[in-house]
Amino acid sequence: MTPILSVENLGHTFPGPAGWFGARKRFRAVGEVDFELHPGEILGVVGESGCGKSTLARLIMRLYEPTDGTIRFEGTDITHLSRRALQPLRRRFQMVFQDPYSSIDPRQTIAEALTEPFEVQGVGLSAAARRAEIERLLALVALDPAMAGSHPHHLSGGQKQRVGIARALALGPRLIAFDEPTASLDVSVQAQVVELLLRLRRELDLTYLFISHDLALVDYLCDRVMVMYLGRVVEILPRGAPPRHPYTQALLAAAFAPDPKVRRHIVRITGEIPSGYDVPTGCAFAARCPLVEDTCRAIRPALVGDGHHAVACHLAPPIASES
Amino acid sequence: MLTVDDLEIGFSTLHPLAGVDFSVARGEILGLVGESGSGKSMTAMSVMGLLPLIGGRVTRGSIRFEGEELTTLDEARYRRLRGGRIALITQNPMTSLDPMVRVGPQIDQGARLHLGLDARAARIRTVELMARMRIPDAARVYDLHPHQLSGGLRQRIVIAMALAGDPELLIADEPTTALDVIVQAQIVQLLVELVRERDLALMLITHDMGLVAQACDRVAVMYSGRIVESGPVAAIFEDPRHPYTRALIGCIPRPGMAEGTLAGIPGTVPSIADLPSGCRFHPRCPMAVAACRDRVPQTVAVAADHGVACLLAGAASGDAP
Amino acid sequence: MIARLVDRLMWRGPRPGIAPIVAGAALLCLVAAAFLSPWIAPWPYDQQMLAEADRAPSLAHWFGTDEFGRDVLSRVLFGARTSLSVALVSISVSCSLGMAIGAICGYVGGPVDRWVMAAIDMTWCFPEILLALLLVAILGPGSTSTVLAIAIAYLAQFTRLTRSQIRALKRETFVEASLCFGAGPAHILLRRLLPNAVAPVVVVAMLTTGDAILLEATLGFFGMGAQPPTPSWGGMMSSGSELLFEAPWVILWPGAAIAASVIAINLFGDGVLVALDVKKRRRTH
Repeated sequence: MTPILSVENLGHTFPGPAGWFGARKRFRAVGEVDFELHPGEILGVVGESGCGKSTLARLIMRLYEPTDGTIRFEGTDITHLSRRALQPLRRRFQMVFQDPYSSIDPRQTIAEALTEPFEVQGVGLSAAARRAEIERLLALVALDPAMAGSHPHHLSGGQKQRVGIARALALGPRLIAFDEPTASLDVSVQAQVVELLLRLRRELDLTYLFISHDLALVDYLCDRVMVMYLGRVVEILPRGAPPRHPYTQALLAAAFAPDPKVRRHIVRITGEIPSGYDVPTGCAFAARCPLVEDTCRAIRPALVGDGHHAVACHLAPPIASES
Repeated sequence: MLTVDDLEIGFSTLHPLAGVDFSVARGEILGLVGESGSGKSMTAMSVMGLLPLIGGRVTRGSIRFEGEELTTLDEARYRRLRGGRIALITQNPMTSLDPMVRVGPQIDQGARLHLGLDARAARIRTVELMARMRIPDAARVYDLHPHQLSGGLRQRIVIAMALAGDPELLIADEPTTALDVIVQAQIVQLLVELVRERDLALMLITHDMGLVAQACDRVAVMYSGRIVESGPVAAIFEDPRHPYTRALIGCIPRPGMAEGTLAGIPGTVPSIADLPSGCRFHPRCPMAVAACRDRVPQTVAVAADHGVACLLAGAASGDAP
Repeated sequence: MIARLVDRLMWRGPRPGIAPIVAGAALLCLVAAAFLSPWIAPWPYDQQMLAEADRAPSLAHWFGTDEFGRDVLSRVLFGARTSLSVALVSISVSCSLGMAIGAICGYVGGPVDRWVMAAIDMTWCFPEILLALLLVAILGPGSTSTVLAIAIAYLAQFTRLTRSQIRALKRETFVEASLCFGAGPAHILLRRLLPNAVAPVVVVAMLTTGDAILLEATLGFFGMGAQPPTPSWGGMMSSGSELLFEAPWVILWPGAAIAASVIAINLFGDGVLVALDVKKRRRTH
């Protein structure tokens, strides 16, 4: 099966604050990211803030111009396609954003927001077709069709996020990237949205790239999880597999289990994430790693493993031991 | 130590909180949990005596702190209490820190104001306090400005500020929401240690059931301005009696859950301008019966220290072990 | 926007109070008077009656007459025409030009933005009046030069404001969403950014119109504005200043007209500012 999305050695460096003269410092946001996404799969991307997960999604959506590597969507190299060349392809990959409050233009009605994709793509819709389309999209995300005339500030956060999802579905995409779509919602609403996403994937045969900082959520929703640290992938693991990278283990240990019987009060990780302006030469996690050895500080470990589970750590036990 | 009894607060004709009862004892961590709009921050503001700032007032009930009634306290005496014996830790460290002032002197303030220390003594105490917060190189950080610190360090500074006046009761309003997972765990660990070590009472306001499970001794679950269930943390998680508590626990993904089992709660939290009659949860409740629309449920004890405000609480306990 | 404005001014949303409504009405009267001056003025503005020069206000000449025996009331009315239209046209030119430049600089960014903004900011190094006088001196006196001079004097302010609005809006997620559908720069700028940026710029334009009236009057006072016999408030005050003690009404009435229009514009502008809720509007949660 050909992957719907394949990313090779993808990297992005932001120019630092601009001055009139002199060199800018460069901010390394994402580096050497390799992965494939297969049709129908949900790949989770987790990591702490600043680990480059949102940048990664925006690179794949071509909102930023990648500085290194290639992105192939359904076999087509889209890494440096011009806006016009990319335009027709954009119908097939879409994105849903984190903040439902700012992801819809406050001046638009819901109907206008939902038909903007058609307008931008130059799809002429008759008044009747437009109405039918709005109704279809609202029904897909289980919203009341009477909402079409409202402005976003009349909607709750959950409803706005549903509109955001409906709008991403408008052009019939194959792949949708979600950038923390439930991070600003209450848990009761988050649960509904997550179930909606699972239903939509089943009904419309979609593939998701799901970015989140919530490990439990990612574990529930995703088939595979990619863990990022300081712009690099440290581990890709199948759902439920025991983590091998010390960072993944730390993340998992730090997550609050909703069970008072399982209390973990010992956090072994100290310090904070280094800056992307000043990426360490060795393993990025070396400064905080409880297992660190001299090799870790000197040589950056490569991501090694089979198609299912891969780790970038000198000290991780070999993948082969996993049955 | 802190006892809130039948608290009702009003904003002109609206009553966002009604019949709120709970108490926190010394050395205890009470989790006040609920979704946005449940009134948990409003409860914190009432205890801090900050309601007049946002145009509200206590219309009924009492708030007693070490036997002293707070609802009738005048502002001058409240001010001595606030930041002194009762301290608040807020969600966003960026807004509770003055960006123009170095962080050390901001912590000093509390000690100078409430303990009457002079500048030098306050500084020594602050550096000690910062070291206790596990702030590396505290003496150097003392002279930094807030923007030079990471989110986790800023939150430690805010906690140090709260502790500067030697409080007995800490109110932490979503203290870790803005932080990353690992830093979150570090801060919670620190808070728990401080409570144990100094025998403080901590009221932990949060929407995160995971945080409640990990840190709290007792839990009060709020919905739409009322406490619907309260009890020891183990009872709440193992034997939740209120349909809302159950639904809330059912919303949290856990390892090994099958697809399609994450329940969610249909509908939305009602707006305070348009509250449903009877039990405020009835429009969203899967078990609601006709009586729920008409009668406001009173809190009944289903076990020692475990109270539930649900008409069906007795019936609901049938399917619990 | 108009509907929303009326809505807010009348009963909904933050209440700006009664002052802006009175000011708005006064402004409307002033504009109507200026527009209708050829029909409502009792005398032609340039009819000289030397026999009746320097007469105090009377039933025949309500505002008195000037040193050539021209009717001051008629000249104030016709002067409103000149002064208000110069102010309005110059602010319109300044505002639209500023919005266009500001929007493009804000959207494009990079070296274009830096150099264009640096050039525009140079106008901020001079006081407005000095800049306007300099420009009129180069272009020669007259209404067209005055319009251009005033427009350039206020250009930096509109450009800066629009640019900062656009730069802030550019980072909003709804812009990224449009980009995801494949929207081009024209769609983003004209449909997403500018409509959201326009309200504060319009309010500032309204408030600046008051300043423009003052600037026009000042240029007129120095003889750099509309040329005689075309009446302008500034020009009238200039000639009136020579008769300050013999015939104070000649300087008094155009002065009062300037003051009244500037106060009315400012009060009305403040009301609009409150009603449109410019600062709070973007984040409604």
